[in-house]
Amino acid sequence: MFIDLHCHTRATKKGDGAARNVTPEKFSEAIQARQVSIVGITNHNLFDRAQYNQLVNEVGSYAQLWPGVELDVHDSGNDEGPTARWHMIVISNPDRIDAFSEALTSILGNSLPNDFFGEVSDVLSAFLAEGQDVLFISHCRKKSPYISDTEINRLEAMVPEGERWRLFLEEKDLRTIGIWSYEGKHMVFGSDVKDWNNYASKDSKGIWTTKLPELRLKVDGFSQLAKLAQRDGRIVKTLLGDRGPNSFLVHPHKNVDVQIQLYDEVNVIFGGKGTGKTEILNSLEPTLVNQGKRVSVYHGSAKAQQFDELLLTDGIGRRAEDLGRESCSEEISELAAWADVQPTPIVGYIDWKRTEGNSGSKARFRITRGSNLPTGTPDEYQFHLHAAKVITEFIERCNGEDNFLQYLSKEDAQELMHLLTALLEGAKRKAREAYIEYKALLLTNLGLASIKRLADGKSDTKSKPGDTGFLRYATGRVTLGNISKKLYVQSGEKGDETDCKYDFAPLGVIDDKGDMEIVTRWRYLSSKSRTKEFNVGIRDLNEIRAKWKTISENIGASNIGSNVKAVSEKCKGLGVDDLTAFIGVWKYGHIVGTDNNSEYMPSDGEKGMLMLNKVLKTDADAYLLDEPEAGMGNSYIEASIRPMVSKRGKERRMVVVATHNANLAVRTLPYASIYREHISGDKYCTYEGNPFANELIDVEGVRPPISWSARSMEVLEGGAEAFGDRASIYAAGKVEVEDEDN
Amino acid sequence: MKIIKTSIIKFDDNNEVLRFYFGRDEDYQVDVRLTNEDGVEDLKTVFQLLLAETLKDNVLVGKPQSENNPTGLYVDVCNEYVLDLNRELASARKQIIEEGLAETSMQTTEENKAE
Repeated sequence: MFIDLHCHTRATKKGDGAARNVTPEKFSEAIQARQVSIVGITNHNLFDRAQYNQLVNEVGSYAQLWPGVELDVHDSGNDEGPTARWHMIVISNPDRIDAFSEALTSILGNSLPNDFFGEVSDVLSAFLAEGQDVLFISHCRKKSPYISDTEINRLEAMVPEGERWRLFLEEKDLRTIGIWSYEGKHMVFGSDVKDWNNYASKDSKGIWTTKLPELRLKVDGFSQLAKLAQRDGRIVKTLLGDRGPNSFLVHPHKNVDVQIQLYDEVNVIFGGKGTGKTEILNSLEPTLVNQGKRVSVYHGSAKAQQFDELLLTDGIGRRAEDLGRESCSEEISELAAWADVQPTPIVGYIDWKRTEGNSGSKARFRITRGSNLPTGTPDEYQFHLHAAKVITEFIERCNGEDNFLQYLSKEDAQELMHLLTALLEGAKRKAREAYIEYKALLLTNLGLASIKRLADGKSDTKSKPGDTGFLRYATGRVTLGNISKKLYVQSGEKGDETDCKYDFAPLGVIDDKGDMEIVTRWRYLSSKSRTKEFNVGIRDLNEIRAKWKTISENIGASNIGSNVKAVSEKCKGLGVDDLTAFIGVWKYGHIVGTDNNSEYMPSDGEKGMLMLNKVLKTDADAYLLDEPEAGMGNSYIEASIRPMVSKRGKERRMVVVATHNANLAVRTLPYASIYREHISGDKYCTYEGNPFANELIDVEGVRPPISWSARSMEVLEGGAEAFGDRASIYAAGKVEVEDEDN
Repeated sequence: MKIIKTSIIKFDDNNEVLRFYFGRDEDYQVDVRLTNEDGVEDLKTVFQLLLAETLKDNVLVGKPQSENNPTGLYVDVCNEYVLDLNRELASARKQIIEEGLAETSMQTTEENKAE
């Protein structure tokens, strides 16, 4: 739908060429050839009402002609001098032509078109007065004489906030208005026709020589264009920010295909119960997903279920490190492989003694009588090694992100780093010494065993066994005790806050209660634990821990081997191969400001508010909302949902709302309204339209168009009579309230 | 200090054992058969009982007393064995204390002080 809001039909100033004069017949012929549907008649400093009427009569129903004028204006309050003069077009609602004509006459006074220069504040006052309904379009940038950037701000300041949607700027072409429009300015441009002979001509490539913008949406009249302008200011299509429409095949019922047009804006599906609105949304979702779009979905009838799904813990990771613990997978493996060290058979001592005299040279080889040296455990060097690691990490934190050194003077910082370095070297030295001692003892015993084996091979003797095996036996039990104790301690609650880790995900606000969030809590098994927190039964986990405790406290027990075997087999059977099985995960609703562990379960209505808020706040390309009004008050819909829906639409996100609610279906001023009508039996009809065109058209082209406003009022408001009654009752109430106030 | 008495006994069937005396009244005895391959199983029982005692206190195995004229070879063997065993018992006790596994904490503290 082409629109020309800057169109001259008369040469009124000295600079205007005679070719601007046009006869009604030529005018009608030209705009029909150029396929223009709306024309603003904007001659310089003149509105020729007689000619306007002739043009209207000639054009008939083909196009809408809106009365207007192009004024020479200046702002005497602007100290920019000559630059504060520009051309401002004023276009009026044709229904208000009398008021417009009257105001213009008073502004122009006795000035001839060639001489007029109006004070902009006077122009604004006259056309913003009661009874007026106009748009102001100022030349800007490349369209000379243009309004300066300073003056744009001054102009906005002169107009009440609620009326600023009436201010537009005119650039020369589509490319530049696209950029300005993207930056939030309300842009338009017109033909500024200079020669009617060329108005509808095409160049050698078949392209129109008169460039004109197309409206984003077809409009029914000035009031509908005003609604579109009020909605987001972007009334014409630009090269940037295309919002569609895009065509989608949807299925309101099984095996029923319907092609509908949807915009990257607010789209509404309405109609009676059972007309397939929900099914349309359901069939739209996979199509959008397959296009690679991120889709955020809300079903009013399943709001409680959607909320409950937020509390599912399936797939949430459990990491011991996150709670400052160790997973101890090696310890569990060691425990499973543990067995008592076997004693050295006493027959080894007997063989040694029996053959002792067989070789004189071996008798002198006294090292073959040596005993193994006690090696102990690697605990000591591991202790020093751990200390060195902790010190290293602290030094890195001092120099890294934490930058602890900032709290000290330069000298003190150097001193601290010197001491920490010395501390680290000390720990490393101790670790080295302990490591050498432990490994040296092991190697000594290995060497001794080798010497004995070689000496035995060269003589008819047996060397003395290296040990009885008791120390190794005792060490094995001590190691077992340590492992079991570690597993017991690391797998359970220690009784302080560090045992828990929390993740807080904001969800929304509940009236009177405050901000709500979803908390994910990780904590080790404790007396407060619930079965659902774990993948393994609590009873089994407690049994395993009890066994570890028993083993660690009874390393001298005769039945220790069977206890170890039993607990290891239980772990294996339950798939417990590290201690993450003992970390419980739980998700719950929580009111911000209360104790971290206090849970809040919202009512069904609150769940709906929260879920809808979450869905609309999700960063997505498309939002599919099925009866968002279900279970919610109109005040909440009006105060919270409608603004969020409109905001997403303005961000060029596709929002498709299936609704029975008039506030959502009408007051969001949707780019597309899809209406589903039940005809009879299993016959349905799908209409498309919007409030701007004020019509709904059968997508199959079978049925005649119907009025968008009439059908919306009938379906969403219960009919014109009901709507009127409510309006009069409310109005009466208002009068009574005002009376009471008086 | 707990003393575990031992003796070397020769039976009428010529089998010979190293006997360990456990229990407050030394009424629980474990024989390690010196002339039988199953002696290792006997030693496991002895080790388990010695460890139980070592967790409580320092333990010393007494020099074996001969009963019924045992074979000289076995007497020499058992004397050497008990010497080795006592050395390992002392090391094990030290380790148990270091690891904090000693069952009498007061005693452990005293021993630590002595060291």
